[in-house]
Amino acid sequence: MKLKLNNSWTKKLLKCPETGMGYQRVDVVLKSGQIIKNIVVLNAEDLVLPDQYADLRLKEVADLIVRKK
Amino acid sequence: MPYKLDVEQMRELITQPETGMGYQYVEATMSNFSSLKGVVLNAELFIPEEKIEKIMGRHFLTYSTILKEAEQPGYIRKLKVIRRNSLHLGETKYFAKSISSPASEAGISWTEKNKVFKRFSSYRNDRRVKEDGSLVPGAYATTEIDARNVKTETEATLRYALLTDEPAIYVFTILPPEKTPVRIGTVEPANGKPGGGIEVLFESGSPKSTVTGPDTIPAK
Repeated sequence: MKLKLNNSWTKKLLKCPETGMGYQRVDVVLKSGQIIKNIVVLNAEDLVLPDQYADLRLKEVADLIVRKK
Repeated sequence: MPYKLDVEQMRELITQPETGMGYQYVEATMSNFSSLKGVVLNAELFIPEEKIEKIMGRHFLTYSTILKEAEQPGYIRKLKVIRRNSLHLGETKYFAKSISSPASEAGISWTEKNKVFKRFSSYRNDRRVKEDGSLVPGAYATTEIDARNVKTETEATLRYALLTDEPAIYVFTILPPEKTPVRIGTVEPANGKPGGGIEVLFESGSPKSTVTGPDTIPAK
């Protein structure tokens, strides 16, 4: 499933280099403290999450940390 | 021990012809004024001739590992490219390793005048391409010459190991100014795709009015 990021997250991601052409790999830090590792973001705006996170809402995201390649 | 070159030395070597693909034979004047013949890989790493077999002959040693083990710049005063027949280092045995590291691990190089690059994207509104026709720092592309190998979106996805859920049918053209800093490497296998194409990481992006398009390519 894809979670559309808002402009502030997109701006943050655009300050970091891509992992490959058109995408970045990030660790998603949730406000609960949980970290969802190695998640793909397409075009700095579409967070591609495993189906088990289908109910996740953007307001639950505390940080996106771009992984080093 | 291999030695990293400083920025000036890299710039100077880039302007001179290669001895073979990805390497140059050189004579180096070291900081203690001794003189060593050897090879420079990718215009950034000097390996003295007596160390070639020891370093390059090791099994499973990647170029990035050799680079990490290298001495930092400052050990070399001067470099002079020498003729191919001045040394016999067994380059076909060893140096092929040097040409396939990803762009993120490559040294900085500078674009030549009128050199064109291409960026494949699933998005017409690619976020790395700004409205003023500039490219955001940290964006990947490929060389125009390498992009000629790609006629369809499927081919682009395989060659550049793209991660997409929509077809990457949009192709942006980048014409950066001369001496734009980039890192050039080879796309590693990733995301279930073989890679193998040339990848160019625009370290500082590209200024406004240098990106045009997108054109489109067929999906299949």
